[in-house]
Amino acid sequence: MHAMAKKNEWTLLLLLMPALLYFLIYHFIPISGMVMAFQDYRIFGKSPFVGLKHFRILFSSPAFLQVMRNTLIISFMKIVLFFPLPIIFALMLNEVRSSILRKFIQSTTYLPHFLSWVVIAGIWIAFLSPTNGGLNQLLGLFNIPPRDFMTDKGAIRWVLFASETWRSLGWDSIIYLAALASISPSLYESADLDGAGSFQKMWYITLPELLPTMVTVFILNMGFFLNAGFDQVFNMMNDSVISVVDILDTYVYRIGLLNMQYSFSTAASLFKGVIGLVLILAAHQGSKRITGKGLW
Amino acid sequence: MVSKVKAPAAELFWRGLFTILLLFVCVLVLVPMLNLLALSLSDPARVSEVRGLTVFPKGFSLVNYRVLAANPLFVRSFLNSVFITVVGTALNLLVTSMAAFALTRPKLPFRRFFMVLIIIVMILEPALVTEYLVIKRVGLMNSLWAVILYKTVNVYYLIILMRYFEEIPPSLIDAAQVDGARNMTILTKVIMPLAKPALATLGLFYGVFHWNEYFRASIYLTDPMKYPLQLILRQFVVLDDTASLIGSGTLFSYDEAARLSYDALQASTIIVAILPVLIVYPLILKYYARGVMEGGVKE
Repeated sequence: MHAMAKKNEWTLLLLLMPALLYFLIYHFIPISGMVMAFQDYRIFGKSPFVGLKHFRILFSSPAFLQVMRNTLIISFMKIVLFFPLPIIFALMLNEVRSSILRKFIQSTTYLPHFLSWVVIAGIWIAFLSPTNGGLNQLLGLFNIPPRDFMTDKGAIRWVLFASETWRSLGWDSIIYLAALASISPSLYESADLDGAGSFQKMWYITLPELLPTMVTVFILNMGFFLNAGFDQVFNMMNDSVISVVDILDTYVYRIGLLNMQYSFSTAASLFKGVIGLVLILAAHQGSKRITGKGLW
Repeated sequence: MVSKVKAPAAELFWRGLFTILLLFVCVLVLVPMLNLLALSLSDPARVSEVRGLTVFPKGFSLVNYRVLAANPLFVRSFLNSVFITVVGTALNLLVTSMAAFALTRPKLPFRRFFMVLIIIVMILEPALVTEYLVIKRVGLMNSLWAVILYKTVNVYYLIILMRYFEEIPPSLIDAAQVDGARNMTILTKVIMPLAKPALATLGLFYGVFHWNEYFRASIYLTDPMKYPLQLILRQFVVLDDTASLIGSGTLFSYDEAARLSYDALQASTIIVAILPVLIVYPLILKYYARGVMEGGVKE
C-alpha cells in the first residue's frame, strides 16, 4: 500500500511533464537566451560578450526615445483616460430596470472583446474610410469635411483610444457590475429612510463600495504600462503615422525580426522586461496591501 | 419593510437618459459590423449604393462568398484555422488539466518549486527574438505546431483551474485512490467531469484565442498554404494587399467578376472571420459572463 502511494506521488510528476516541457521551450530557454543582450549574437560560433554596448546605443538613440514617449502616451490614454469609462458604463447599466434591455446591452457590448485585432482593424479601417466610411458620413451631416483619420498623425492616437474603448468598454465593466450587485440592499434601504436622494446614495454608498474594485483594477493595469497593446498598434499603424504610434513592442519586432539585429532587439526586450517586472511586483504588493488581492 | 414607492420623475428621467446613451453605445458597436455584412451581401451591381452607415444589403447576392469559397488559398487558410483551433484547444485543456491536478495534490514532490516556476512564467516575458531563435533551433519553423503549441498553458487559466480543482472534496479522490485508480484515471474519470463548467469556459477562451491568433503564425510560418485565416485577413484587409488573395486569378472565373468590388470582398473575409466567434458567443455568455456575475454576488 505504501509503495503504491509512493509510486503515485512520482507519477504526479509525469502529469506535470507536458506543461513543464512547454514552459521550457516557450519560456525558460528563451528567457535564459536573453543573455545575448550583452553579446554580439552570431549564428555560428561563439557570441562575444560586449557588456552594455547595446544598451548604450539604445538609450542614446533618438528613435528609442520617441518609442518610449509613444508607449507612455498611448498607455496613459488606454489606462488612465479610459479608466473611468467602464465604471460609468456599469453605473448607468445598473439603473436599467428592464432585464431584456440589460441583456441586449451586455451581449452587444461584450462581443468586440472576442474579435481579433486583425478583424477590429479591418472594421475600423472601413468605418474611418475618408471616401465612404461611416464616421465621415456622420460628420458630413454637420458639414464637417471628410478626414483620413488612419493616416493623420494628430488623430491616430485617438483612433487607438476609441477602438480600445469600442472593444473593452462593455467587457471591462463586468467586474464593476459584479461589485455593484454585491452591495447590500439594506444600505440603500436605510438611506431611503433617511430621505437620501439618488445622487447622495451614489456618492455616499455606491462609489465607496466600488472603491476597492477600482483600486485593484487600476493598480493591476499599471503593472502592464509598458505593453500599450501590441496587437492593436501593429494592425492599426501605417507608414504615415508610425512615428507617433511606434511602441516598444512594435519596435522590438521591427529591429529584431525584420532588421535581424537580434542582440539589440533583445536588449530592448530586456529593458522592457526589467521595468515591467518592477511595475508588476509593485502593482502586486500595492494591490495586496490596499485590497488584500494580488496577482497570485 | 420599505414599500415600493413610485420612482420620482427626476429618477425616471435619468434612467431613460442612461438607457438611451447605452443603446447609442450598442449602435456604435453594431453599425460598423452590420455595414460590412450589408456590403458583403449586396448585389455587386448596387454595391456603390452601400454607404458607410448602411446596415441593410442593397439587393442580395452571395457572389463574394462564392468567390472566397472558390479561392484555394482562402479555403485552405480557413481549414488551417479550424485545425489549429480544434487541436490547440484540446491540447490546452488536457495539458492544463493535468498540470492543475498535479499542482493541487499536496503530495506532489517539489510542489513549492513548481509554483515559483509558474509565477516566473507569469511575470517574466521572454524576448520575442529569443523565443523565435529557440523555435527555429527545435525545428518547429514553418510547422503548424509552432503556432498550435504557443500558449499551450496559459498560467492565468492554470491558476483558475487549480482554484476550481481545490474545491473538489478530497474524499472523492481518496476513495478513487483506495480503489487503486491511477492518477490519470482519477483526473479523467473523477475530476474533469466535476469541473465541466470551468473546463467549458477555459475551452471557449482558449478556442477564441487560437482562432484569433495571427502574429505567431506570421513569424513562424513561411508557406502561405499553412497560413491561418487571420493572417490572410491581415494581408488582404489590413495591409490592403489585394494580390494576396486574388492573385490566383480565380476571381475572374466569375461572370460578375468585372463588377466585383474589393471593398465588398474584403468585408466578406472579415465576416467569415467573425462568424465562428458569433457561433460560440452564446456559450461564452452562458458560461463566463454569468459565472462572473454569480461569483460576484456570492462574495
